Amino acid sequence: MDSAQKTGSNDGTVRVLARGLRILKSFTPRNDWLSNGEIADIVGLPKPTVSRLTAALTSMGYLTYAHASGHYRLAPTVLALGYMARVNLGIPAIARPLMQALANEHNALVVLAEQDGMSMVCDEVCHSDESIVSLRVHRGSRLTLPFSAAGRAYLGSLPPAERDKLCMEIATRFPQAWDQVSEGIKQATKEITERGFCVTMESLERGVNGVGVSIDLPNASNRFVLGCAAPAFHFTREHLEEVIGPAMLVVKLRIESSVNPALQPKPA
Amino acid sequence: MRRRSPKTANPASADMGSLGRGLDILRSLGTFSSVITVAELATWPGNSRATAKRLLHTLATEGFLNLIPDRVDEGAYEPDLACLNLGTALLGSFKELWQRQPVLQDIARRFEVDLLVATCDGAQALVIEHALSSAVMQNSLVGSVAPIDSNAWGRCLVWMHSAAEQATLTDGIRQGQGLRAAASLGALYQAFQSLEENGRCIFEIDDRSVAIGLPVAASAGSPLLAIGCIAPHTLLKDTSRANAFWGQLANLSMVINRPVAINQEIQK
Repeated sequence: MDSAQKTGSNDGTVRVLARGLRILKSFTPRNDWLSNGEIADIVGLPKPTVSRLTAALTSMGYLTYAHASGHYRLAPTVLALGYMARVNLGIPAIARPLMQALANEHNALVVLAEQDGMSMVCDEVCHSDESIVSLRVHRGSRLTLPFSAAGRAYLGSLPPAERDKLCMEIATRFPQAWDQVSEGIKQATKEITERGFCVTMESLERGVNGVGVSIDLPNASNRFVLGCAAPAFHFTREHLEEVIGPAMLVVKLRIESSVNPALQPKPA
Repeated sequence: MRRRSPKTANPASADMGSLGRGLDILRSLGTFSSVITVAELATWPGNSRATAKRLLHTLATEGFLNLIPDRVDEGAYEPDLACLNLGTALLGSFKELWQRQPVLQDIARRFEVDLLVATCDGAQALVIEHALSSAVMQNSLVGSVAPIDSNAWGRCLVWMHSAAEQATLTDGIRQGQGLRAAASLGALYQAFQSLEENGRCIFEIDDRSVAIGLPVAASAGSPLLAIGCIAPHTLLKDTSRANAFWGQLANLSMVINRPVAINQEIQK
């Protein structure tokens, strides 16, 4: 029996690894310096256990310790923990040049996102090279699932049973906005079914309009969606429906056919 | 009151060994391979098939890996959202850098250069921000690492260290293989001389482009940062464009690590 087996727990996981990972996950852009006590509160572990693990993570180079304050922060080495592979291979890498071209052509923000709880997490974000006005969204930013164009496209493209289940969660999490959100999801589902993309008018943020489309990849681990947004004065409904939506469908098809060459249009 | 140093945990202990081994799995997912299987992991020293399964299962349970749906039988995993979130948490802690990204992008586009910001990860230079032009493409993606003595921005980072730290880093280089070590040290001394005299160092890459390293002005609490740039020869031969470029780069190196003031105009 080796060490990982000795330190395993009943659910088939390696306890010390799971705890170390939870400690790393407790750091966020808004929570960049944490003490052992604060980490213990976040992850729900005894402080002595956290102290041992933070010391180990520091000696391995994943955390940095500030002697003056007694706080830890993530060390640059964490970028080696799958981040490169995640952002530079697979769908984000295929989509990036197509998204950048779309952002430049239409002076807009284009995101590739996937669902995580009540958020759409941006795997890739492309801002227009020319635009001075740009929305504050970065890779890793979280857009609220039921309000964003990307989230509506995700919900609208789910099989009905999955969508109903997720809608129940949304109703619980956003009870006061539910009536309005419910209408928006119904409309998005109808638009996705009829024309392949959905349009949102100031649903996420006042003054910002957008379009969402789902990328259909059979056998893919995750369901990706594309969202495109710009200030409302720049993207009118008519422009979104007649120009941006169809342009997004072209990008969607190009991504899908890059992954699955069988989908490439056949010459006449 | 003086704070105690973090407790020393022995990462080689059986318990912490499992933590290190689990994190090593994520480290193995790099630019060229983003999939790991149970069988492959079981060939690593000290891993049985059962251990490999438990480690991968733990990483998946915590959201760092995802079991690929059509490769379930072979137990093939790829990086999942927690890898992205962890990288985002680190990069988001460089708040000033994120705010300056549009300025980086603007310089990259106007002068058709690749720009990056790098920091130290032990004896490696790690890219934490980049802006790529379409004209020059090099491997300078966020998360890329290279030995600190192998490029202009890495040499710049060595120069920025204290004398004692420089000695440690150059000792490490000396221990490399004969001719390579001699060439590295030669390039390092050339960089030091150039940085002392001109505040930047320049190295030929090939007959079309050069690599430039420039130190970033220090800011309280921030790690050492250097600007790297891959520029075409043609830019540096055109005197008026070159002067404008050097001016922009020098300005960037002074402000990139400082908070963006409200209403501050970005000079174009």
